[in-house]
Amino acid sequence: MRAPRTLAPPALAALGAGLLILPWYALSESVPALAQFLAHGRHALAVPLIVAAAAALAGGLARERRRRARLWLAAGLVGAGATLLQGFLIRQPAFGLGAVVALAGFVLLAAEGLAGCGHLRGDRFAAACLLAIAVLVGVFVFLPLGRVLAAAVQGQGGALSPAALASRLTAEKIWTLACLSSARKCGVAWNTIVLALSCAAGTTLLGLALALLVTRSAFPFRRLTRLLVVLPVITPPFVIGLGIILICGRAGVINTLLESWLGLPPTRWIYGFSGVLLAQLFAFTPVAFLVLIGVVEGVSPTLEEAGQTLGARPGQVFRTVSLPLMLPGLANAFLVGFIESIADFGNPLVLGGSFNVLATEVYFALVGAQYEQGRAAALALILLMLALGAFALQQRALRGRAYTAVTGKGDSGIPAALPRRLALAIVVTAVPWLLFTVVIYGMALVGGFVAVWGRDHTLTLRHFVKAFGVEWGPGGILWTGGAWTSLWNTLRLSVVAAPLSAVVGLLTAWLLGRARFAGRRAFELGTLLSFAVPGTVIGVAYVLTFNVPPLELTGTGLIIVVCLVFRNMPVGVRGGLASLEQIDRSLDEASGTLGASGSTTVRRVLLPLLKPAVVGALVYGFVRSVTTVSAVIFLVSGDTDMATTYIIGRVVNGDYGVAIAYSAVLIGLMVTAIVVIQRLVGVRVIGSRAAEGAS
Amino acid sequence: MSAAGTIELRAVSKRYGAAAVVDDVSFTIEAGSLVTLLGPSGCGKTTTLRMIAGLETPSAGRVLIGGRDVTDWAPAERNVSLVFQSYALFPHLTVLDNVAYGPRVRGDRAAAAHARARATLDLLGLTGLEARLPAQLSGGQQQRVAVARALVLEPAALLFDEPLSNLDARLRRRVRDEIRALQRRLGLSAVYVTHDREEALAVSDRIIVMNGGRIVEAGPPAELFASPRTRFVADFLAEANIVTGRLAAVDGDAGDVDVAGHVVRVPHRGHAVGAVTVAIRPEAVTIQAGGGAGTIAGRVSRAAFVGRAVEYSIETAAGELFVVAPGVEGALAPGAPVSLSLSARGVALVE
Repeated sequence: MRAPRTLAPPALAALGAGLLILPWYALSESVPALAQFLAHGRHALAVPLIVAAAAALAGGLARERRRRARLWLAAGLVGAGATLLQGFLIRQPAFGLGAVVALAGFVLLAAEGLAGCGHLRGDRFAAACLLAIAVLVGVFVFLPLGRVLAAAVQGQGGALSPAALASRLTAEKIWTLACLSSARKCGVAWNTIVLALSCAAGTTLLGLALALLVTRSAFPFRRLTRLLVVLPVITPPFVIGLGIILICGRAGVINTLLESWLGLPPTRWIYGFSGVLLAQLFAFTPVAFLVLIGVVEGVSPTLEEAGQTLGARPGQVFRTVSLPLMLPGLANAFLVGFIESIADFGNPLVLGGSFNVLATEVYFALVGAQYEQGRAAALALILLMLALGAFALQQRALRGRAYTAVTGKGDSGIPAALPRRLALAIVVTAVPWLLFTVVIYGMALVGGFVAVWGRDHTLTLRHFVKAFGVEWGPGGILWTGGAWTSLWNTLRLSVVAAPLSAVVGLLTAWLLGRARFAGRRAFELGTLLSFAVPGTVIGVAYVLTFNVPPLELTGTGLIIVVCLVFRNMPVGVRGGLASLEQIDRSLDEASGTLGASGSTTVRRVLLPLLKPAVVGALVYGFVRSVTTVSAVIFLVSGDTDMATTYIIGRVVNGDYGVAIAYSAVLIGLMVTAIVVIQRLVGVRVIGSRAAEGAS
Repeated sequence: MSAAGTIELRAVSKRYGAAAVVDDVSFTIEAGSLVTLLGPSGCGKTTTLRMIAGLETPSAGRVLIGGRDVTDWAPAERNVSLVFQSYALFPHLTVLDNVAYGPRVRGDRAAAAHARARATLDLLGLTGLEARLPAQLSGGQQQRVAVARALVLEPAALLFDEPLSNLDARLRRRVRDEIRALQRRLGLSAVYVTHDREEALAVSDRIIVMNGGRIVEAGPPAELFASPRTRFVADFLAEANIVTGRLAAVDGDAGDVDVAGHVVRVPHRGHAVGAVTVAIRPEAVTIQAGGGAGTIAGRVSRAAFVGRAVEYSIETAAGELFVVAPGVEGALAPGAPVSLSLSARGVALVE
């Protein structure tokens, strides 16, 4: 019989290195924890030191397997908890390498203990993943959100003040309804809510129309429509906003034509609610479409056929059978649209004019001349509550979804034809949307090659030269274009962040789908939560949390990577979970009984079968890393400017040509990346009858 | 070929919340024997098997393999192999790589692992299929590859979770006999889970009958079949009729049992004279048309021709009796009066 594998040696080695050898704090002349404790009077470090020593002793003394496991579990948890707690409670420099390595050691030790007690079927790898992800999500999602709450409650000088919180949360600027009765503006909260409701309703209707058009109609361009509809997903968020400015803006096509034909003076009507809503409709309809196409395809044709054989006319079948079956899916799409809209930062910034929403208000509270942490935190809190409320409703809608997916096999009916009037309505809404999408992308493409949009339409490459100029100098290549730094940064950080978020997301999915442990549901919600948290809230939260010791990360590329990883991870979780459901559990169990450890099973059995999910997670992680603005804009510094923040800067300055040229480059970059990722990961081969051996 | 080990469960329970799926189960499986866990679906037999494999953790009790307490051990650390109901062949690996998987992940080099896999494939008559993917095999071949993959590691015990349920009836009998022959030839310890009584009777050295998470009865197949102690085993293993009779007289180990006026002499287990529960196997009843003295009078209520035999339901004073009569000529029509007599070998007193 084989000797049991154990995590104890690496855990104890990490503790030894972290506490005794490596510098504890991130200071140039810092010494290890033991020296900090002995020579510098850092008495709180006694707890981790003693716990680690006790754990090492226990490993040597406790012979009985179960007993030793319990000791290690306790030591790991107490050690990690004490290290973090003293870090936050006692004023000290930022954690350095020693502290991080020691924390990792404690987590490994706790994992060894957890598995040794027979939890998670004794799988050390699963235990280590579970604890590591729990700690990381705790530190990089929940801790910052908690910090936002704390900042909102702190009055002037830092003391706790519920009154400050109350006055900030109920500020008139946020909640006033003055616009209903006078010419004054309404509060940002109402702006946000009305915009989000309109956007959610619009994207749901458009998404449904497009989904029905693609799956249930004889519309001739269905494949093209699918492609066109998904295009905005890989588009930087403000390209659509830019396209709208080029068409409807002051110097846009429409104004120019009106002026030359009718002599009307150009107007700025697009800046404000209508412009932002228009941009959001184009940006987020694809998301609703992707949600609803599954919903529409999930409606069993046999049920519709049953309705028809019972004598219902097409209109009645749609109203009484198809639509009720789609309702949970429609609710889900609506809530997704709502969440996307309140989290949107780029479009309101570009097109909002004097129309402010919470996401932009948070930004200006923190970045403008007024550095008001408390107000920013309070605004972020309201935004967070809205998002979490919608998220909770969405989770309920998804649980109600069950009955659309009941019928799995033997459903070979033909979907009922759409009622004629509905079909007409769909074509009338969907076709203009599609045409307008084509026009916007056309404009956004042409705009990069035009000298000054609206005034001087001579073709030129000067925007590309300005952004991506390259010259031969005496010392070799000179990157003279202004955009190179930000492009390299984006590439560098995204290439690091995308695989990390895929790894964390897929491992989380594996734990959720396969391992059994107490608190599974809470773990799932915790890992999915960061998806619902608007980027601006995360941005504020990170600024508040990681500007100060013990976890001082601001101004580094690391904080951007961390932010990207934990914001994009939930998609890996969802994709991984969906794919794992297709893979019979007994495959993992077979691997386990044949002697493979958890990590071997993941590597040799699951990963090859999960290739599509891996590609999905990588592509999504990369695309979102390249295109995200909202959270990152708080975290960039001079050294770590990102492509999106650079473009926003150009847009705000009215330098549309460069912004558009840069966006086109980004789109090209992402298409290349998608191709490269698919080549690297490859496809899975499991024979003619896919996954039959597993079912 | 392998160092067969004993398997012992000591007061093992598995609870999900308040519900006990396996409730205080103890047994020992001797090295080199094949023991079947038999019972209706939901009786806890598969959960018991999975606890031996380490795929479930017992809520209470200990699991010992080869004398060692492995209760907290991961599946990978236990020296047992499981043949899954679905076979669980890795769909992306060839037959050879599937069988070589165990040796590989336990540290063998590729060449050595492949050599071991080839030897095992040869043992199971699978030579020539090495390069196929599982999806390119027939159901019977997949099943044998699954057995080969489990065998290649020479485990202390081989576990089977309803291994034949995905095969058609004819193939099932052949594969069943192959498994039994292989187990005997290699002297393996094996635990075999099934809900099919015929399968259990055919392959086992011992049968453990489970119901509601508990062991109802255990013993060699012939003994359990012929003289069950419990009403449940009589019903489940032999489809016996359970009727109320009267123990008229006791004489040493045997006693005279009166069932609706017909008296048979059967072994008794300390039953007192008086009312007893009697299990009568369907094939132990002889039917004759018309009446007869000292027999059970009855009337045919239903007759079904099933090929080798005719199955009757007969109304009698003792209740409705299910009877299987071999020989198909002269089947009796519903409504016909009959007289029944019992063969003592097919009658048992149960609790």
